[in-house]
Amino acid sequence: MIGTRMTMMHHPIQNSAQILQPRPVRHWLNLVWWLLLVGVVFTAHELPQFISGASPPPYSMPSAVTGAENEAFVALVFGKISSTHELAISAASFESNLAALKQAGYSTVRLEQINRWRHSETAPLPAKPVLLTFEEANRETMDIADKVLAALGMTAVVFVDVDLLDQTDIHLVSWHQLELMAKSGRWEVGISGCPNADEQAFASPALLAERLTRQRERLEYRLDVPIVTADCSRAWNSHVGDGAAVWTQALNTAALQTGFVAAPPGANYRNDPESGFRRIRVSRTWDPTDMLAQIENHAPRRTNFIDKFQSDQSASAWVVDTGEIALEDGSLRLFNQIGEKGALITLGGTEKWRDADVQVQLKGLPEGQFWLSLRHQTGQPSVRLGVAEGRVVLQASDAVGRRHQLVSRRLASGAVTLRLRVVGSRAIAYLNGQPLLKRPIAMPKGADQGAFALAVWDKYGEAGSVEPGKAAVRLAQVSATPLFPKGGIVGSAQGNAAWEQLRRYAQELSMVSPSYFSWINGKPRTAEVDDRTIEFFARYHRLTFLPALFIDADTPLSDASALTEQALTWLRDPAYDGLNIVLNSTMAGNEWKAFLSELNRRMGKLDKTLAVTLLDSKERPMTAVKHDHVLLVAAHTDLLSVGPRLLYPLGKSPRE
Amino acid sequence: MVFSGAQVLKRLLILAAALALIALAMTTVIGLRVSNINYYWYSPLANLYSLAIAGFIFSRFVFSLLYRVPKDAGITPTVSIIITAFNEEEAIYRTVECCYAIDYPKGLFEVIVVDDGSTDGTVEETRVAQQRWPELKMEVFARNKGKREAMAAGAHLAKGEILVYVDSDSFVRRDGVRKIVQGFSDPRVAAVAGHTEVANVTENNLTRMQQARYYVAFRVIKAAESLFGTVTCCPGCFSAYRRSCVMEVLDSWLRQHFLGIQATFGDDRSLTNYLLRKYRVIYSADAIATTIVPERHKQFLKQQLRWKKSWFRETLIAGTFMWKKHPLAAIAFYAQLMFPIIAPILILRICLWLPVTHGDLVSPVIYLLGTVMIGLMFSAYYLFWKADRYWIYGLYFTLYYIIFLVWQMPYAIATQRDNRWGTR
Repeated sequence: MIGTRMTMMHHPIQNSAQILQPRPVRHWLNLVWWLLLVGVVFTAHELPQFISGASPPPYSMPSAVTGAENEAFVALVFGKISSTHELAISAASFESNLAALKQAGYSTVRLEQINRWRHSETAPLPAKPVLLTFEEANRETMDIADKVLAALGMTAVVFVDVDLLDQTDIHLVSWHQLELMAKSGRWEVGISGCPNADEQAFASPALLAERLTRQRERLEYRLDVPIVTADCSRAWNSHVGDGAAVWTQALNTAALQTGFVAAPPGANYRNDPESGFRRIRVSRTWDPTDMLAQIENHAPRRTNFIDKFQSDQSASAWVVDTGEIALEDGSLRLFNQIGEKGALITLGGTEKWRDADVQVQLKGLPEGQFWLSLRHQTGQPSVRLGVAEGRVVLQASDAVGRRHQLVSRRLASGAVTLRLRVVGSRAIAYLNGQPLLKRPIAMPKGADQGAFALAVWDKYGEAGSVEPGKAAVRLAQVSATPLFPKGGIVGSAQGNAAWEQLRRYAQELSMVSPSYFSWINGKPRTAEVDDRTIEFFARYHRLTFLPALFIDADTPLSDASALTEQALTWLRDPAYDGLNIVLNSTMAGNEWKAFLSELNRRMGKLDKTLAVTLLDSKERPMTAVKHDHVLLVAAHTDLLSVGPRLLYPLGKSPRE
Repeated sequence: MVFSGAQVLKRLLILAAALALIALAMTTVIGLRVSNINYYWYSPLANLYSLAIAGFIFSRFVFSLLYRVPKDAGITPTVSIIITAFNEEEAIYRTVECCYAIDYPKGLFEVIVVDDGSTDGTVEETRVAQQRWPELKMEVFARNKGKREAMAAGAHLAKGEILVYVDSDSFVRRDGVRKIVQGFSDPRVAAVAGHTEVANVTENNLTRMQQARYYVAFRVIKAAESLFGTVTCCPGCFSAYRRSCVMEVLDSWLRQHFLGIQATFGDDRSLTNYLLRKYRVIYSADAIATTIVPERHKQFLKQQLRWKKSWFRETLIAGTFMWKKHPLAAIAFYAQLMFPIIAPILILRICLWLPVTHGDLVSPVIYLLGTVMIGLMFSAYYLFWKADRYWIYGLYFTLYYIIFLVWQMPYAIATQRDNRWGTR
């Protein structure tokens, strides 16, 4: 097909030559604009920091390790922090509280520090360790907290629910913000383990573990840091069975090292279960003084406590579980609240007490019953001394809650001072300075540790209808002295002088160790013992009976295996509660610790106790205390909770 | 023209109302964008899209305010007005008549009609016109070869320094040609896009929407591009080209293939692209023509689909060289490349996925609010400058776009190799 062109009349137009020849654009000139643009962007990014001279927020620096406090750490939990929300902790309050914390010498610690500390004796926590935690990654809370943490060089843990983060809830931090927080070094991230809506997750450890594992993997993938902890801020719901067991098993399955639970506030000790760390919830009404007082109340208490209630501040050491306390006329009044049958307070920081001597002076008789107890743990075996219905009563309760009345004596009118002394596996009760019994009572099995507690109780009241003050007591003075385990090492055969010393110090001792065994030149040696009086003495005074096993300083480590088997052979004697191994301090290295750990493990299976006494390299007395024929040794406080228990000599060499 | 006091007052009230609407819309949109920044990382892609598109639109408005029409250099180069026609028997005569009615020195322009194998009375109508204007050149294809071939034939036939292409259903105003050639006083300029308005604006709501759309597309988008000499499409209805530049690329343009298929639509955008690679392409807001736009939705949707197909093809091609242009032009270009592609996905996510899976009914409301405000801004802009009663159709068009047109892009991409014209 060919087109046609038609022009009826042709008027050719002439080029005007008015326009210039075309000239291509010089594109390279735009390179200047590009460079300028890059310069502007770079300047806009860098200029503010350059002008302000501000450096990036400081990374957390671990405080100097002092080893001064190596027993426990306190964890705080913060709820919502807001500048506008009236029911939240205010930003100003949060800042001032944390500043006060720092000024008071507290050091924030990281979970990784805590894990190292728990598993290594060479990684102590800094002095006054405190772990800050946030139960929710609320956006405003994190914004406020991060600035304060950066300014103060502190660290914290935040628990997040991955499912909520995935829903891009704008009230929570975004993934990106969480990544920045994790990268800043100020934040560790944990899993919010049991959101309220997810009851089903607790139906089985497997379900919960699956949830925790999924969340851990998501967090580790996004944040590129190991996730080692989870929290559950609500109490276990009984209808799902043993929540604590489900929780612990799920944490293990999900490869999470630690867990935080809803538990009474308190410090976390080195040997506490890793799945059940406890925290102190920070109230929005606390000022710095309140916060420091609360933390100090829960810090491990290893010093004498005497309170005559002459100061307004004196009541701050008490942790009120139920009821109320008030300082009135130089006394502490403990009383029930309306609707409650009683009141219970504990002395802060004493929850890991083993041995102690406490004394309470009453101001008049109580309304209802009054009880003083040591090694108090709710639901656990304990001993208590009290006043009830005009009588002084000493009771012991066992693991299943059965209560045994050991003493019941009518009270004479006048002042009442109760004293309870618990040493090792025995307790001695006093009324107005006089022992209530001639010999100590045995502490119920399982009452290994617990707080010093005071309680009042209206036996006849019905819960819900009790008037306030129906159960009440006034205390004029309270004193509490922590005691450290002491043992006596004596020769295999005791002379009169030794017996005299043992009788004299019987009330202070928790164990007695006759020198029955030794390991010298690779050979076991056993003392010939005809007289078992020392065993009767120990039983009478309810002392733990741990024959001493001396190991020669030149013993090679290759003997450890044979030594272990021999020790277990010796331990077959049912009269022995365990062994006290006496080592030269030069053998306190990791190699011999491994031997001790293995021996302790195998003895534990036999329900036997291992104690270890270290001598200095020259087997010379390390302190000035001297008792003829009896070497008194006491536990070193720093190593109190470390197993096996290490006892350091305070007297002279036991061989003398 | 003398205005009465009432007219002045009315005009002032309209201006005030338009400014108030613009302020309202901008405040709302800025507020929404602030939340996009605040909550950026909660949904980075969606927020980036929202910020980028708002930034793009704001930048268009700002740049359009900086835009100035080409200076009247007083030049009168020789001009060849080329009308390509296919089955336009009703409009061709009027188109030719408008061309000869222009305010341009006789002897310095010529009119050429290229009939692309029309099967109606177009050729006869043109011959009637030729009776009236004997100097009218005419070339008739024995068969339909496509608009590109017709444009090329016109270029070969033309003698003028400037080629002015006019669609056979477009009508150039008297001063249109004189004004459009002023841009060529800059030797770097290879093409100038004229301003086009809707001739059949009163026909129905669809044409009114297109009127508002055309105004914003030209007066805002093309004006902003023109600031950097990077107008990406000189519309076929009324544009001027430097003939020597066209001849440089004519053969390549005629042989253009994409994905192994000969390109047979989007000829105006394609020719612009060829020139833009080396030269500046600008927009002349005072060189005005009117054009007849589709009056039926089916016809309109087919036209829009064709435009989107050519937009996708030519934008990808332009992407290979646009980085050489001014950074602000280049960034805007590459950004707007993503918008129509992402938009359908994002709308599905916000309006369907989030409500169904997350129970999120807020996001769709916010999205629609932002869209309405942007549409309102277009409308208010139209009202400010045009002050006629069609301003609200800018908002309607925005909603029409969201409901119908946005979904065409995936189809346009998927059918890129289908080179049928669609509306013929």
